[in-house]
Amino acid sequence: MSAKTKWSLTTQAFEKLLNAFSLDREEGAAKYEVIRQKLIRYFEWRSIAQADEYADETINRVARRIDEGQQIENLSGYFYGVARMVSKEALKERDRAVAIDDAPHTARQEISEHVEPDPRVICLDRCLESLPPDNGRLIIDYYQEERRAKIELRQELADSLHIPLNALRIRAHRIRVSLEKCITNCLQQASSAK
Amino acid sequence: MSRQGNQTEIARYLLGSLSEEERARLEEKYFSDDTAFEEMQIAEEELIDQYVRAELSNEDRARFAAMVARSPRLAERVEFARVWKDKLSGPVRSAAAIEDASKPLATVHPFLSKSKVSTRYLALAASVIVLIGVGLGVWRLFIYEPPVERGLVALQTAYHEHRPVEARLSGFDYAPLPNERGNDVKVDSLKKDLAASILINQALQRPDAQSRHAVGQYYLYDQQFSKAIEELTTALGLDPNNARIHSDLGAALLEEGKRQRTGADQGKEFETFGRSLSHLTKAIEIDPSLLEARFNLAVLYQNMLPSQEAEAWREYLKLDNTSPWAVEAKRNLARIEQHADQHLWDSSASLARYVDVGASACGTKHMRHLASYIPAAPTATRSSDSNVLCE
Repeated sequence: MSAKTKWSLTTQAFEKLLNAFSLDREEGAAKYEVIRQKLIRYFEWRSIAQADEYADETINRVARRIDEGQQIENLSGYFYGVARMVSKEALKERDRAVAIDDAPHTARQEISEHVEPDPRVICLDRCLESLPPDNGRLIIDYYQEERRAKIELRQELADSLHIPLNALRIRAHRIRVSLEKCITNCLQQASSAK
Repeated sequence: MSRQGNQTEIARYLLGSLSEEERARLEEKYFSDDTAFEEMQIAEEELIDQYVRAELSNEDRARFAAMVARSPRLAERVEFARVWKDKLSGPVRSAAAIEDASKPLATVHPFLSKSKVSTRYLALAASVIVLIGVGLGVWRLFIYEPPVERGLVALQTAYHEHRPVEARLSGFDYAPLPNERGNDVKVDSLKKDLAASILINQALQRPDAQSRHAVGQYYLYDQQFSKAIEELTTALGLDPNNARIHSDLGAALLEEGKRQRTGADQGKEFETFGRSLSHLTKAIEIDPSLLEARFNLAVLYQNMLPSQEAEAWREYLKLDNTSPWAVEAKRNLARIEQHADQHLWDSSASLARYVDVGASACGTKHMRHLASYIPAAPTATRSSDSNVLCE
């Protein structure tokens, strides 16, 4: 990735970055993790491949500025500004790469359908089992139906739990995120056991 | 903005269809507000679910598929959603049963608390299965549109205002040529990209004659003639007696010949036109009623042997006298009749060029084939052996 600077993140610079998030170390680390997730999603949603690497590049640039003594008042806004610059560089780089290799990208656009059992299925079963029963039932019920029936079912579910529909969405989302994390760990364990 | 409106805006952002200004506003918001970011993630999950459940429109699906192709992380989330969907639509109840194991079964699904499932339930289940089967049959027969057809519909829609080539593709509706007043080809590029996505993907996943034929048609309309020729030749190898593929390959060769005539490949067009002629005549031999092949033959003659063009349009009009294609054929015929003298000159000049170039192309079967199609050539321009031009 040519957009990367030669500067690399030192322990000292990373400490300063966490301090810039919060003087409480744990809170700083949590905020760091949130901003990293936002950056990754930002690059993905901008259709930029290697989103992780560009997210880290953005973090490195911000960390460098802090390490150099720059005072930043609105840290999230600053991250966003740097991310925009990095994304422009990434898109230029991509255009250059496309010009060199103009193979039809459309050929790779759709993900092939799965026809064989997948280790994810095994992991999903395991992870579902590991969820607290209430959460397991909630996420299964939440995603049970399709289209119109789904909307009605979710409203019924929210009513039965005495919470607004949006709170139900957030709750289901958080369970889903934990389920996805569990599956990712399970898959990593499975591949390292091979 | 209402929550519904906000969700719509987020979905449009995720599909890349917001303006730059709108995007930046949304991005600033989610960078500074964790709740807004969580809302974005939820919207993305919902989009992923719609994608794997095939609930997105074709355009949105293509846009989203392009994003998935660029992001392994997103692809992984899509895979999770797919597995999750399969789990819910397949042995979902067993998943529920796993997590409900700690509870008495009757509290979860009361009808399962009986030790035996009654025959009434079995009959009901059988009826449901039959109904689903019938429903699937109806869906397959009347609603389901196979991918190749969806791709070709997208392609035709993309070029519904103008057709980009003079030749006529098999199975395509009429669209006028753009150049009558010097206009550019009007094309809906989103629909065109959608067609490419569907057709190329299908040709990769299921490389049969139909899918390769369709990709060849796409390349032909995209004016990538050498790729079109390659795909259509492959399709023909898989289905050698398909008149439509012969006709489209003839069309691709015709367009490639026209391109060669004006570019650095000048001189090569004679052989290419000859090959086009072979395929068009073969198409007509297999299916004499194939209008597309007859139309293309007339266009080929217009470029190759103007003396034969008028007759070819008349032959076409015997089979089709009313369609928009026929209107174009009549217009071409009227043009020829108005310039009959000019054509006579063209014919001689054109044939003379064939004889000149014949020296280099002689010996190829296409030139021999071509020569056999010149019954009315003026004797002054023919070789000493009047039967075969190249020999």
